[in-house]
Amino acid sequence: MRARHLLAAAASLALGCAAPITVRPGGAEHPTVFRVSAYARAVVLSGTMTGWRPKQLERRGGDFEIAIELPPGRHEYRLEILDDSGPHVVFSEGAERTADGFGGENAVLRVRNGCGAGSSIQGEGSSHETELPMRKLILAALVAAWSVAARGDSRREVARADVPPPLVREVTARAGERGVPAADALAPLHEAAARGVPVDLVAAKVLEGISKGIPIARVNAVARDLTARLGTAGDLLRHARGVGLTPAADHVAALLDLGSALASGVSRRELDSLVEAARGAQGGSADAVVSAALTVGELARRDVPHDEAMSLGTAIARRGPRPPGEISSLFDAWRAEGGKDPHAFLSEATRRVESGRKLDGMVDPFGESPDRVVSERGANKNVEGNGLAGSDVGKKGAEHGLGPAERSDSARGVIPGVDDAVRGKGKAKGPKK
Amino acid sequence: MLLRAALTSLLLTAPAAAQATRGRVSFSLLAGAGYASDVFVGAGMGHDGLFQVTPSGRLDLSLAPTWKLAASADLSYGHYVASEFSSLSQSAALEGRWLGGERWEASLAAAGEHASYSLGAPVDPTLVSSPSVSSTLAARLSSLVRLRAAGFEWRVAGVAGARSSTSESATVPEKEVAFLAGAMRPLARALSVAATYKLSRTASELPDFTYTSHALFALLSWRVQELDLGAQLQLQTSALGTGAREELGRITASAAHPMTEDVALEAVYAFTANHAENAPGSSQPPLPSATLHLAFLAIRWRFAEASW
Repeated sequence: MRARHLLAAAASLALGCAAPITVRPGGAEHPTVFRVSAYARAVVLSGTMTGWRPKQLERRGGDFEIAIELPPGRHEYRLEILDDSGPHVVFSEGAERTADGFGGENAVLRVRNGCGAGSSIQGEGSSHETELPMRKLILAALVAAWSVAARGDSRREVARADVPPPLVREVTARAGERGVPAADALAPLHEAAARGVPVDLVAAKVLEGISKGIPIARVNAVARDLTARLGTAGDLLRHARGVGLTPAADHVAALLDLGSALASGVSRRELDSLVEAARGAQGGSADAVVSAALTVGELARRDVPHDEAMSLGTAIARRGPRPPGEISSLFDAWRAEGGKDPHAFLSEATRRVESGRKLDGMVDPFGESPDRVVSERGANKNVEGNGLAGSDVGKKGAEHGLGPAERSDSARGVIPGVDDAVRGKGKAKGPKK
Repeated sequence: MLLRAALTSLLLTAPAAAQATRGRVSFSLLAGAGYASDVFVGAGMGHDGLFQVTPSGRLDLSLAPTWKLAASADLSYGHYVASEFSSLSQSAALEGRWLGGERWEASLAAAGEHASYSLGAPVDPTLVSSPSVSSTLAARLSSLVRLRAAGFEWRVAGVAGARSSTSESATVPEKEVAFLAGAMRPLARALSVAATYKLSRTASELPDFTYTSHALFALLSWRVQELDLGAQLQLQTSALGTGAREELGRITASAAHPMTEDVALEAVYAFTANHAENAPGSSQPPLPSATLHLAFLAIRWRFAEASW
């Protein structure tokens, strides 16, 4: 048994990822599948799709797996590995992440063209997993019907100050399970309803806080912050629509993404400047603004100064939305490779975004450049020199550190004179365009 | 219990520390032709046309953010048309690098090579009075440290190697050591200058295979859009074990421009001038000064690359 454990650990390490996690987003005909390969007692999933109730993954051989039908949209979740040493939150490699407001992080999953059988709020009770799909379906229908009606007209949003009964029942029940007074747990929902903010989003945050065992006072503070941010995000999206930008494809996801950006310190003034940038572009869209804001926010969470990240944000707002989490994932990979100067990363990312080129491949994993950035050839360069890290010349690795003619270890000249000049040139392939 | 906890901790901390090994394998082919006023400096074989073909392969591995490994191998065939001088060489190298951050890095490389010539070629192509060899086999170990400070990139390298050359059917063992020190300064994003001093010493039981050289290199690199331009000046003085002394000056201009994503055009022009003097009191006839013009145009085709 012990040997098996060691083998499992060794195999995982040999694969380069200790607990490989795959998340395959579902579609119209397929459920979303979460799979974790780990030596563990159990693996549980909790998130907006389960009403933040932990749901255990089924053991299949050496893997843990669960398939859930999810509606299209933005979902937040967490996977936890339970073992003798306790629970451990794990994320799949490159997963989009967002701050949960409670000091931790959630993974973000975006489902497009789903079959719509899931729900963001799960019914009460903890031992009814076999009933889950039907309960979720009913609750989803109730919440969705209310949400659609409430969001259809912003004037009605403001006027409506009630909370849909299914949400009241769910939050009340969950609060009761944790010994939290229902009135305390429901207070943020009423405030959200009064402000015309989608109540289900605030309710999900309250359920998340309760599920994570956060004190209710802290949960309410976070929920109120979220309400304020969603209000600002709603204002911005209305403003964007008002100035002629194409409306967001997924309004709820846009609200949450803008809320996340605001939580990361992106200011309303910066958001307005992104709207202006998108407005000046042909086919400007709210999605581009949201993507830009989300990117600036994600970079801000990684201690990148706003003013530096805004140049990239402006480029995104002008050129169109990027895949969620793309740039933050690249930034993390760049940091992991030893990248230190965010300016080098941002300059290259901005150049690529502005020229419509792929960002994939801009991180140098082979140490060929001091700043760990692979520069696109032919892109418009800032000709101002800014030191070694900013120079494209002499960036290559050790083989280029000393010219071929200078090194004693270059092969004896095949064609004397030619070899010295030609050998060593172009050995490292430039980035694909 | 303890083992499980340890394993779990290891598994959960491993993703941050032990990234998946990333790699890249690439192959390229250099093929070109040109003109030379002589086969090598001081050969006296006259004007000639030449062509060269060099297929090469390279494997890069990123073992960790700070550890990189590269293996490369190439084969090169060159031929001068009129003089029928041809050469064939094979080389392979393995290089490990430690990246200490943006400020410095160090590398250690081991390389082996073999070259053979259809006619006698100088043991060192920069020396007109060096003996002719028909083949050489060499193994070298080199290390390089690059430090970025005060706006410069400082480079220090050391090389040690053993070489065996075949000269007039006899095998001549040689030992090589070299020390290089230099600095590179970027003047702009796409413009840089570099200077390197190189001291090299080749020792052998035969005095004409023994020589010491001091060389100074100055390199200007400039990128204009997609065009890479380079100009290098080499000034070298050598003292041979026979007592002869040589001074060499060489200027090389090169340009490379991508034609497609995988094909680049490269051009080189080099002018070399050598002045040699026999040992004082030598009865040998005086060595003539020699010059060499060389122009070479080549296509570099990167025909396969895969990364993971």
